[in-house]
Formats: sequence, C-alpha cells, structure tokens
Amino acid sequence: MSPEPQKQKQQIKAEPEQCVIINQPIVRTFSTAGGHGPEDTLVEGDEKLTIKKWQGYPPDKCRLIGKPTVAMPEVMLPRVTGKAMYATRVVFPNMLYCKMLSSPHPRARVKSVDTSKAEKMPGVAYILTSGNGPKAWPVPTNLDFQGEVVALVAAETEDQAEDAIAALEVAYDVLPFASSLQQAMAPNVPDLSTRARGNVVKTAYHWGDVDKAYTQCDVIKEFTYFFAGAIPIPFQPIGSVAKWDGDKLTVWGMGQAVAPLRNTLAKQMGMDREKVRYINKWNGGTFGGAMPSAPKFYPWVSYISKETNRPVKITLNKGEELAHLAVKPQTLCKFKVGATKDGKILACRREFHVNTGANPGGGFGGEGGGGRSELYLHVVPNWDEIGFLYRTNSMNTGPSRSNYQQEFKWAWEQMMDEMAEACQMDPMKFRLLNVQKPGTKVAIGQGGPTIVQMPETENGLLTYDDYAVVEILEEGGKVIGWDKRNPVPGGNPGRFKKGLGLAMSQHHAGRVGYQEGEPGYEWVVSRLRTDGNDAIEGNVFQAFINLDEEGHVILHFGQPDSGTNHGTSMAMQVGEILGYTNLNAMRLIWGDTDSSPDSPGWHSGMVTQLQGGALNNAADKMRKELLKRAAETLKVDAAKLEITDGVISVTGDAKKRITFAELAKANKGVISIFGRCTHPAAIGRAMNRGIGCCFTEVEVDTWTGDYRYLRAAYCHDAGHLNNPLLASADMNGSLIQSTQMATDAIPWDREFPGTRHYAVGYLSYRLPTIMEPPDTTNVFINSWEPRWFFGSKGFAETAIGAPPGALANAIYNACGVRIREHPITKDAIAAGLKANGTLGVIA
Amino acid sequence: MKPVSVYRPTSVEEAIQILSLHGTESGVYAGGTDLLIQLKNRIPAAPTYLVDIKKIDGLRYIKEDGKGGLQIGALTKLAEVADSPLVAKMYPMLHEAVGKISSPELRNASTVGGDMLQQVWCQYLRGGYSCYRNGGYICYGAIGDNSYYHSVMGGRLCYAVYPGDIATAFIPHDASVKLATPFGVKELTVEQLVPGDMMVDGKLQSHVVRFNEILTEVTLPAPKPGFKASFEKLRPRGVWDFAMASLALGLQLQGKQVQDARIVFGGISGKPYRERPVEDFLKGKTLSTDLINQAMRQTLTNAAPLKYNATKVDMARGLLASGLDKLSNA
Repeated sequence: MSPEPQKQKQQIKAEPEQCVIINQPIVRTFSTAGGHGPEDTLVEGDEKLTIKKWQGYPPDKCRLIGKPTVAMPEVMLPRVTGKAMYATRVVFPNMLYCKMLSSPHPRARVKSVDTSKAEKMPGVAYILTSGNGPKAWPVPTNLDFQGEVVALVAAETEDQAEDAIAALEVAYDVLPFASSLQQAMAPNVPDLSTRARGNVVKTAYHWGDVDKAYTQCDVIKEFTYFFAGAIPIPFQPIGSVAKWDGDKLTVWGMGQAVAPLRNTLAKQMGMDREKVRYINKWNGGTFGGAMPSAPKFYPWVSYISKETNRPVKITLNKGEELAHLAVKPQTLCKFKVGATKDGKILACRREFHVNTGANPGGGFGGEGGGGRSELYLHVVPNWDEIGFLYRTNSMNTGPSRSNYQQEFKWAWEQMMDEMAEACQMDPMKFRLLNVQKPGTKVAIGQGGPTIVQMPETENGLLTYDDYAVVEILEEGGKVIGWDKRNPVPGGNPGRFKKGLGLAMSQHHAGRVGYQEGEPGYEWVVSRLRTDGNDAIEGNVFQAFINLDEEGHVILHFGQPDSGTNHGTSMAMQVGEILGYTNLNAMRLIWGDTDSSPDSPGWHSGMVTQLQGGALNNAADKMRKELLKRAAETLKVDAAKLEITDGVISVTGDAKKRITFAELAKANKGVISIFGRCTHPAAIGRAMNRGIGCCFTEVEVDTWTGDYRYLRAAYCHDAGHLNNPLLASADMNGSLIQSTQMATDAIPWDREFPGTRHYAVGYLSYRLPTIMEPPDTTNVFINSWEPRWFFGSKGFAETAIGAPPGALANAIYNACGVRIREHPITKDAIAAGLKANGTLGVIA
Repeated sequence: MKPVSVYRPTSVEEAIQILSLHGTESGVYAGGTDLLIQLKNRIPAAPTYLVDIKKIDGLRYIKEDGKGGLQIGALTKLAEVADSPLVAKMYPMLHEAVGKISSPELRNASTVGGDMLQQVWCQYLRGGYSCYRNGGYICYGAIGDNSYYHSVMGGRLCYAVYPGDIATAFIPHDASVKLATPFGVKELTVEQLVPGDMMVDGKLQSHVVRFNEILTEVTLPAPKPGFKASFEKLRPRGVWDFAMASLALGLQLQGKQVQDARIVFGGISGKPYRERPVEDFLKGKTLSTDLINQAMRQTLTNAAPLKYNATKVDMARGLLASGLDKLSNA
C-alpha cells in the first residue's frame, strides 16, 4: 500500500464569508461641529470641547485596522483544544461539590429548614441555609420566584450533594403571588411591594400636544403588541470555584468583569480587596443575563470553602440557569398613532406594561421607561407616554443582549409596518420619510429622555454627522432585493410563499470616549469625582502595556474573554498605533485581578471601544515615548522617524534604525506604560449614536404553517470596521440570538400560574439549531466617527433590536399573518392562516 | 442522579434472567440517551436496576433476509440506519425519517429499539409531577399546558404523545418485531408493539413489552411493487426537536391509481396514529388535486384536541396533503 499523500496544511481563511463594507466619504459637504469638515479638530457640545479628530489616528492611513484578522493564538487555541479554563473546568484535589435546593413556590417564606437527616448522609460536608453563611449576603428566607435558592449542600460528589438536598425538610409559608404580567395587571394582585419599590412604578413622558395633533392627521390607528419574554442562554454552564490559601481567597467565576466582581465579593465577605483574587479568563457567552446570576453564588461557595477548608465548586444545571439568568421581560405595548396621508407621523400615544420581575428596583432603575431608544429613531413631533413597571414573582429581569430593545422594538417595528400599510406606503420609504437623520430638526425631548444634556440636539439639530441611517436602509435594501418585494401581503402565488420584512434599531451611544490627557477626559472625571470613588471606579477604564526585551508588546487588561475575541481586536488597535502590520509581536494577559489594573466591566458594546480606548491611550503614550528614546539614541529629530513592525528608522535612511527590543534592553527591563479612558455616558451624555437595521426574507408553507428563514441583510453603522472577520462572526451571533428571542418565550405554564417547566432541558426553552439561521450578509457602513481612534465606534447592540420585528414583518408580507402576540411559532402561523381562510388551500 | 445498579450480561438469556430477578424495578439500558436523562433528573418512573445490553453480541446489524426484505437488530444505532446504503435503496422513506430523528450526535448513541420504546416527553412527567406514569392518579397534560407534547386524538390515562419517529416510519412498510421473552420469541407487528398508553406490569407505558422481555429485531418485508412512500415532519426547530406532527405515508400505486395506502401520523396521539378510513377512501382512486382536497377534509375528523393544541390537527392534515402531492408527482 502506498503511503497516504501528505495533506497540505489548511490555512484559516481570513475573510468573512458574506460581508459588504460601504465607505462613506471622509470629508463631507454636510458636517456639524466640524466632524467631517477638512479640519483636524472638532468642537463638541455646550462646553465647546476641542477634540483632536480621530484622536490623531485617521482612518485612511491604517495598516491593520480594517483587515480581516483571525483570532490570536492565546485566545483561539485554548478554546479549540479544550484547554481554556472556564470556571466549570477548574478542578482541585479534595474539592467539594455544591448543589442547591430551589424554591418550588413562586412566593414563599422559609419557616425552617431541618438539616438533621441530610447532615448524616454519606459525603455531606456542609449545609448552608439562612441560619449560617455570610452576614452581608445570606441565603434568602423570602423567596420571590420559583427557583430561588433555599439551601446549598456541599458534599464529596454532586450525587451525594443531590441526595442530601432531597433529604432536607423545609417548612414554607406559601404566599399569594403574581408571576406573569397578566397576573400582575389583574385587579386582585397581592401586595408585593418592598422597601425598595412598590408593586407598580409608573412613568410618564410627553412633549407636544398629541390630542391637537390627531385632529390634523388623515390616518389614525391603534395597535396592541405583546412580547412574552425571552432568555439569552450562555453555552457555558454557570459555575464558580472558591479556594482559600491562608487568608487569601481565590474565586474562578463567569461574567463580564473582574475587578468590580472582586470588589463586591470582598464587601460581601467582609474582607480587604487585596485579599481576594478573582479569575475569569473564559466565557462561553454571558449575554448580560449571566451578570447577576453567576456572582450571586460566589459568597456562598467562598463561605463554605472557608468553613470546610477545602476548595468548593458549584455548577448550575440548565433548569437552575433558566431560573437565575436575568431575562428579557414580558412587555405589553399599546399605540395610538396619527399620520398625514403622505405618511408623515404627527403624533403617537404609547402605553406600556412591563413585568420587571422580583429584583429590588426592577433591574432598570426607578424610572425605567424602556430606554425609549426607539424614540431616537423617528421624528415624532407630539408624544404622550405612560408606562407601568410591575414588581412580580417572575425570575429576575435585566439587560441581556441589550436593554429594553427586542421587547420594545417587537412592538415598535411592527407598528411602523402597520402604519406604512395604513398610509399605503412601502415600509422602507415610510421609515426613510420619518427617520431622524443628521441635520433633522427634532424636539428636544426626543433627543433622549434617559440622557441629559444631549450635545447632539444642541440648537435643535443633530450635531453628529456619522449616523448612517439612510445608508443602512438603502444598502441593505440592495442586498436583500427590496425592490422585488411583493407589495401585497400573501400575494405571491402557490403553496410556498416568500416575503420580505424590515425593522430598524437604534441603541446606545455608539460608544466612544475620552482618553486621558484630552480635555474631555478631565471634564468627565472631574464630574465623576464629585460622585466619589465608586463613580470613578465604575467608569474609568484602565490598562497597561509592557514592551519586553524580546520586542513583545504585552497588553494587560481586566476584561474576561466574551467569546467574540475582543482581545484580538484590541491588539489590532494597539498594533496600529505602534506601527505594526501584523500581530506577531502582540501578547495578551487578561481576566485576572492579580495581573491587570482595575477597570469597569464590559457591556453595551463598550469593550473594544473603551477598554480598547485605555489600551490605545497607553499605546499612544508608548509610541511617543519610544520615538523620544529613539530620537535620543539615533540623535535625530523625532519628527523624522517612522515605525514599522517594531523597528524605528529615519525616514529616507533605513539603515539608521533601532528596534523596540533594543530600546527595552537599553531600559534594562520592560518599558511599562499605563493608559486610561472614560466615556461621557458616565455622566449622562450620549455623544453619538449607533444605528442598524435588518432585512429578512422568509418562506411560509401555507399548507402546514411551517416557515423557513431564508435570507437576512443585517446592517450596521460601524464607524470604522476594525476587524471584518470578528465583526461578521459577532453580528451573525447577534442575529441568531435575537431571532431566538423572537421565536420562543419564557416557559410559563398557562394553566398552573407561577410555574415554569425546565425538566425537558433545552426543550423547555428552544434555542435555534444549526438549521435555523438564514443565509446572512452583514452590511457595514464605515461612517467614520471623527471623535475616536481610526473613526471607530461601538455597534454591538445597535442592530440587535431589529430581527424580531423584521421576522414578524416578513411573515406578514409572505402570508398575510400578523403575529402581534409573541413568540413567532409555526402553530401561530398556522392558526393565523386558518383565521384568514388561507391554510391548506390546495389548488 | 438516582442511585442505580448496572448489570452487563453477555447474552439475551442472561439479560432476561436478571430482568426477571428484579421485576418492574429493572429496565433495559441500550443507547441511554433517554434513560440517563431520566436517572439524572430522578424521575420516579425510571428503573433502579439497569441491564446494559450493549455487551450482547448479535443485536446490532442490518442485513437482507433473503426474501427481499431486511432485518435490523434492535441495538443498531440510528446513525447506522441513516448511513446504510441498503436502507436508502430499499426503504428510502425510512431512511429519510431516521435522518430527521433528533440530532446527529444523539443518532450516534440512540438505538432502533430504544427509539421505539422510549418514554414520552411530557414536561409534567419529566418534571417529576405525580402523574399516572410517575405512579400518581392524574394526567397534568390533559388539564395543563398541552401545546406540543399532548394528544389531539384523545387518550386513556396519559395524554402525552408517542414521540418516536422510527415506529411511525416502520408501519407503512408493514414491519414486525421480535421480542425475546422467558418463554421464547414473540412476534408482533409494530402497530401491536406500540398501541399507546397501556398498563403493563403495573406501569403505564406506550408499548406492550413486559419487564422481562427484550426487543431484539425489526423485520421489514420486501417492498411491494409500485410502493412509494413519503415522510414529513413538522417541528418547532429544524433539527433535534420532536414532531408537532409527522406523517409516514405509503402508497402502492399503479400509475396514479392507489392500490393500497398506509397513512400513519406521529406526534398527535399516544401511538403512531393510523388513519384507516382515509386509507380505505384512497384505495382505487386516482391521485389528483381534487382527491387530495377530499382526503384532507376526511382526515382526523374524530380529532379531540385539548385546550392549546388544536393547530396540530390542521398541521397533520397539511402534511397529508404535502405527502400525497409529493407522491403524485414522484
């Protein structure tokens, strides 16, 4: 037998499969505040802050930024080789395993827990109840939702811990409850108020005169939509490990920060921060929902570990996770919308009701109000809103894959579609007519009710000009073939009917910041300082960069890996500033409070922009420092020097050169530079905006109600796309996850109120499978944000609100079934077809 | 996990002896994809004494029977059926149906016998509720939230639907099975094997296999001339999920004229539901759009949906139309 031919090493293809990148002109005729004028500076906001455009690093001279780049080995290899130390993979000899007893009741008080039988069971080492444990973080006795922790047992094995859990005898005082929104809105709802908040928090917001405006409208319509809640589920189980070495505690966890979680844990345990080490390098996605649910267990496993003097681990099973993850809430939205016959919206009245769950404060602050980010989308000259946030016996709710987006835009984007139809307009043209654009005159109130002092509405005009709202619609429309859309819902012939849908999404500030050394940074930090150390710690990102004698550039930052390889992206930014054309010299150290400076956690599309901003600040200082040292060594003016791939040389005389490594050697050790960055949202200023949309094509089987999600054009105002490969992967995940939220609901039992079913694992709450995702093209518009490095801005959560509405709108266009009551399911489509008399029509 | 004892016999006879020894607390452990979940979740109905039959030789095969038919050992993995060129050639509908069972990972572990004899997937049973199957005296599915996992064709005690696809796909082929019992080999048709919720040896189950019997083989007779078949499955997700409704349709055709028909629905009843009146209606008629419309109107007219699952009836009718349409154009 001849030997097998040697297989060629397969190269990883560094190109996104389907990705369209559109560049806007860098210098534009329309420019407010100098953003896209030809000048090198711009002046921003009421304070007239002068900003160096692109922070000195313009988008058109990039060598690394914008290049499709595969993940760095230290990020990618441990994941694919199974060596990544997720908290659930951490194992020590002599370790104890924890299991929990969960409350079977939606609302109850624990009267007593009899542990006597369980204590005597084989392998049981410790039982934690409300009677013992950390005083600052006790196991609760007031149980506010089904699945709440009643007790924890640590034993030699998980099975032994489970056996002991089964032997615990708990006396409950079972109390009346209201779990679902329907129950919470019912007249006989029990009093669930706490000291922190009442049963219902009412919000109101208005501008203009809605009733007067209705009299000028040709079309007035009323709509009601219901979003039944959604759960973003991480792939990695929630878990943690605690271990003591003398008086030092180390915890391996899962989340979106390191230093803030260490600080909180130290407080809960009554310890000095310096005595606590927190490690979280790897995550299989946390999606916001894991933020409150994983750290909840740290003090308890730490306490048991201390009491038993053994390492202790807890891993939640899927049912426990589904009970503890913060979820997207049930949301009911009612609209009365008025428009002129040519499609201009004049007035909108909105009433909303949100099940904010059991969390004290509701997870959204007292005001709540839905973030109201859809109000940034369109010009609504007259607005009247009343909202009700209900405290319930639901699991905790909170920001998860954005805050108040999918649940509110489910309603908003269907309403826009229905209004377009009522005005006999194409939904894209209707949106283009009503959408806010750079230069659009908007009511001051509409500038951002949750954000004060909006520079972008200064003088009643949107003063930013990197807001690619028209471009995402037009370019996305081209990709999906919007011009071929059948204008008659269900009008295509035959059994399988195709349809196109569109929805938009606007959220967050596009995430740019101020770096240390510029006036904006000092301005924000001085404002934060008045609020104390917590405000500074919570909003100032820090990092440092070491240059070693071998020429490695080592990035130290706190953030755990999110699964999106943000470390690679930040290395590209640093590499760009330091004159690299590849990432070979870059090294990453992250996710450990002992090896990185304190920073806030990441969320809302901040990590590459703001943690990256702190690294860029350090890199900028490093570049200047290295040029200064090289100038001294080479005895030339620093302005005559250039940098490429770790070599500083004199322009026009390449032989006159010195390497980064030589400079470090001359320093007799690493050159270390610290960087900082903050963001104006920290003091309630948005500074700029992100915008996205989603075009969707579906095919509905009108004989059965089955449907397929065929294609999507997922469109993003990207500022300047840092790494197309990473961005496409990230946005593919974003589309799938947001689609998941549209296609299943929190599994409340409709007949046994207050009960959810987790027993059938993933069938309890269906995630999309490999068969569900559409053929997706990501459309990125480089709009060149003039305030930040290379023209970049955050866009992680801008388009993510759009997919649910886009899918619902596409199904309506395909078959004439409007699903106003979430989720989108095949039986809902079949029922809709039947109601329309179009199910199983065989001709 | 529920504490268990595991036996690993090397012959069917030895396995039957162990099962007989422990009575109804024992259970056969084959692929384990369902059993292990039940144990992990401490379901009261799950067995305590497991008889792992994977060490028994001669239960894992796909072979021709010499009479134009096929024999499949009960321990054969679903993936092996899905990958079998023999099955693909002789029984393409069965081949397609097995490819739509669960996910590739689970098909690698699940066995043909296990799929046929699997427990139902009612959320109340799996949640440990004290229902009939868990030894209680109520069906929570009948009175509770019954969108996906419960019958639209009525029930006796348990209203959960029979979840297996392979039995549904076997029936149009007139397949039969062999059971090894303490008293010798018993032969049954697949329909007789899974007649829906039955009290057997004091336990409510979908099949008639007693505690000390082992399913060993499925026999598929030679396909009849002019036999064409189609498998349709509608499920909430495109892979891995159970059927909201499925259909295994077999027609013996002469040209477009129906000589004989088998209409078997899955996911709508406590058993693979054979719609005999419509089978009889189709016999002798010529496939046409008009006939499909007529057949649809006559299908599942005796349906008795529960509060939340009436749409399954419409879906099943749509699947029949789809299957007939496919075969009339095949």
